This record gives sequence, C-alpha cells and structure tokens, in this order.
Amino acid sequence: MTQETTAGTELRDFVKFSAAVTGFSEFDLWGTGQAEAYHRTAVDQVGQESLRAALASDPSAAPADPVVASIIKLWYVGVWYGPEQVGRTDVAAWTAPGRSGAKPAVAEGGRAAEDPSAPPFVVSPDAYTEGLLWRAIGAHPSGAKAPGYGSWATPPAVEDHQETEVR
Amino acid sequence: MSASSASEAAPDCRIQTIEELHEYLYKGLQLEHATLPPYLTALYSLHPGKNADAWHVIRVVAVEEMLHLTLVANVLNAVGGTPDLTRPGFVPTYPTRLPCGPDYFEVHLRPFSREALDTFLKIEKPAEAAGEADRFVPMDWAALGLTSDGAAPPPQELAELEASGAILGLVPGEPTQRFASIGEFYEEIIRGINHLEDQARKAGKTIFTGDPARQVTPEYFYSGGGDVIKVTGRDTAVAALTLVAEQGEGLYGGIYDSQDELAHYYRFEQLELGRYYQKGDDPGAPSGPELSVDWDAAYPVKPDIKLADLTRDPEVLAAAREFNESYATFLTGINLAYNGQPDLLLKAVWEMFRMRDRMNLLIRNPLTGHPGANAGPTFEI
Repeated sequence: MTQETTAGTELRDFVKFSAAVTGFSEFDLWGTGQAEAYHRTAVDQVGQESLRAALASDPSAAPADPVVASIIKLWYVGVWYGPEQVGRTDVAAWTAPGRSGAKPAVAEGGRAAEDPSAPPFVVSPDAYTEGLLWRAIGAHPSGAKAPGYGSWATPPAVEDHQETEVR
Repeated sequence: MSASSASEAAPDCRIQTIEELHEYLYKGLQLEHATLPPYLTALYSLHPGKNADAWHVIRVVAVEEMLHLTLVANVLNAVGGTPDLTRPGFVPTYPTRLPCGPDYFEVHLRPFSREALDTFLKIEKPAEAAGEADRFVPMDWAALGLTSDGAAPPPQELAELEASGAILGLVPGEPTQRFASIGEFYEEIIRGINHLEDQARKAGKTIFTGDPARQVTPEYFYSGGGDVIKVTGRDTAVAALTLVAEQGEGLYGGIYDSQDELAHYYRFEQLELGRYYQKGDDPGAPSGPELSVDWDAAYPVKPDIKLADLTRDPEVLAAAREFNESYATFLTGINLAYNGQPDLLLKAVWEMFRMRDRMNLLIRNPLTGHPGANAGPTFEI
C-alpha cells in the first residue's frame, strides 16, 4: 500500500473514521490485518459514493447512518450486515429529508442494490478471530487465537479501555 | 560437525579454563537467541490466512531455536555457570553479522521475502568441511566497514562490539579472529568440555558441578520438534550441543537430524524449491508434495526498523516501546527459568502468545512518512 495513492488515502480515511465510530484506536484497527478486506467489502457492497457519504457523516450522530452501522458491525464481528437490513425507519432517516424511504439507501453500483435481500456474510476466516468483540469483552474467539497452553491457570488479561477516550 | 571423542588430544584447544567455557556458552546463548527476532519478524509478516506452508516452516524453525537456547542453558548450568539473558547487549542491534566460511553476512529484521529466505538459508547452512587450519579466520574489519585500515578497533571499542552482539562468531577473548562457521564454534565448545573434563578427572574431579535442579527437563518444555536433554555429564553435554548443530544443518551430510527431524536448512530450502522433502531424499532434490509460496502476501515491515522511525505515528511508537519493555521482562522471566525455576517456562508459553499478538498489531500498521512500509517490533532492549 502506497500512502500517496488515492486508494491508500481512501483506506486510511476509512480506518480513521472507523476508529471514531468503533471506539478502538487506528493502531488497533490496522492491527487486525482486516482493514483492506473490510474497506473492499464496504466498497463492493454499497458502492464508492455511498461509502464516501457515510465517511463524511458525523461519527457521533445517533442513530448512525445505516452504512456506518454496517461498518461498526463489520469491525466488531467480522460480518457484513447490509445497511438495508437496518430497519426501514433508519434507512428513511438516512436518506434525504422529505423522502419517505421509498427506496433502499444504497447507491448505484453496490451489490446490495442488485440484491437487497443478500444475507449477512463473514468477510474472511480471519475476520472472525479479529473481531473487536473479543477484545471488548476481554475474551478470545472460541476455537481460535487461543491465549496459550496453561493460560487458564492465571487470571484473564482484561484490557482496560477506560483510559482510552472514545472520540 | 563431528564431535570430538574424549580421547582425542586437544593441543590447540582455545578453551583452557572453566571461565572461558562459561563465556563461550554465554556467546552460544546470545547466538541462538539472535536468530529469533529475524525469524519471528518474517513469520508474523505473513498475511493472515495466506502462505500456510511458509508459516509452518518458519514457525517450526523458530520453536526449535528456542529449544537450542534451552539446551545451551542446560549445558552452561551443568558446568556450574550462570545463564544471563539480561546482560547489556544480549539482544543484538540489527543488522547483526554471522560468519559463513570466508565471508560475513548481515542478518536483518525483514518481512518474509526472497531476501529474508536467503539469509535464513545462510544462517542454517551446513558447514563446509574445514581443515584444522581453516577453522579460524582472521577478522577483516575493513570488509565489515568498521575500520578503514583493516586493523582491529581499539580495545575498548572492540570490547563493546563483542558485547553488543553486532558481530557473532568472534573467538571469545581473541576477537581478532572468528570462527569459520557456527558449527566450528560449537565444535570448539565440545573440545573445550572434553579437554577440561579430562583434566578434572585426572585430579579426581569433574567440571559437571552444576545443581541438577537447574536443568530444564522435558516436563517444563512445551513444544513439538526435538526433545530437551537433561545435561548431567560429558555425554549429555555433547549430545545437547550436537543436537543444536545438527538441527540446523543435518546430520553427517543428510537432511535429517538424529531425532528424525528435517534440518532447518532443508526446511527453508523447501520454500525456495517449492516442494517438500520426504524420507530418502538427497539434499537439494526434494520429492514430496508441491508447496506454494505467495511472495507478495506479506506486510512490508520496514527492514531493521527502529523506534526513531516511528516518531510520526505516536500510537505505533507507544506500542513498539511497550513491546520492547515486555520483551525485556519476558527475557528476565526466561532467565529466572534458566536459573533454578524451570516451571516458569510454562508461564512463558502464554507470554509468547501475547507477544505474538503484539507483534502482529505492530506489523499490520502502515507507517506515516515511509511510503509502502509497515511498522514492526524493533527489539531495542
């Protein structure tokens, strides 16, 4: 990845925004090794334009833009839940004011636009083990990324996320 | 490497005192450990889920280097020495240099790549059969770029270089010379043990005066790939040191060692040749299943990365510092295990898993201001 390239900049922007909405640091997100795969998934699923719009939204907005909700879930559980799977009310809230939510909140070009009923999918085998969920609850993914022989004899190593300010 | 028999005369044996033997064995600990940061950097640079063949090959070798470290510690303890993994300079500043016949080569911290594999092959390369006269090579300081006229650096600088692990394979106490290969280094230790033990026995004594409770025995060593040898005398000491040498380069020119493990050189060669070895194969001609290597599926860790490279990425810098501190703490723990508390090695296993996780985090982070380069553990201890 060359950071001068547009692709590199977009990936960095994706990670930066993801850090703001997941509460984990950019360092932690890159550290999952999933940044490229998640960015590619988001682009493939909702299209470049919708993703750009989502990344330009206010990260503290509640309820979040449905694409943003999908991105947060993606980082936490490694599964892509399409934004159309968020309640229709949310979709309507995200589309332009005055629109009644008559059409799915997906831009042209995204796969979900072609098949809005696409089921959720795990992005990669490693997406499961790298989910932020595990770190958030102070556990490790069952059956994978075990903390090592004999670790059960010592207290669990729970990270203290209190010291990290959630932006 | 052929082990000297006890009856062989050792007139030119470099090791004449027990203190010299201890110093040689300390150097052995330093040498065995020095291979781990390069192997681990390459291992964890592999993209998750890719390059399963390369991942397994490097991992097995790295785990066996940990066995070697433990075997050398057992020998040192058996002859009444005190392993010290916390001595300043124990962890070299990379690149370090290793001898390979007439030349030195540099060992870098590098991501998995053809260059890294080439270095790994050199580290484990079977030694050329050296005549007595060729076992030692005068140090060429100019070739290493350390002095302009080729003369040895002044004594103080020389002592610092020797302690720093920047040049491995020097003759301890006589650093104007170095060993032709790591195999010869261990050969010298075996000769020294035989010589000192012969002398001690003539006086009705032994050099194996160490407390057996300081030995790391198999129940404390969680691993596949080679067994820990409890060292209590000459035979077990020679067996331990021979295993260290032959796990790297094979036994008597074959591709397997005496425990039926494929030697490291040939494990790595499989990645170069794209095919696994199997029983009965000759060196250089594996006939097992094909394997594939994706040379591009690795994070581009900045070679020989230092904390100074990370100043524009505060989160990465903090994590790299934290890694170095935890690595120093980890070495202190291993050192306690080698100094009478072998059960601490079991706890060290899951500390290794935590360090793996920390290294993975670092290696997957791109660096600001270094286009196309990622962070990594700096091992500045």
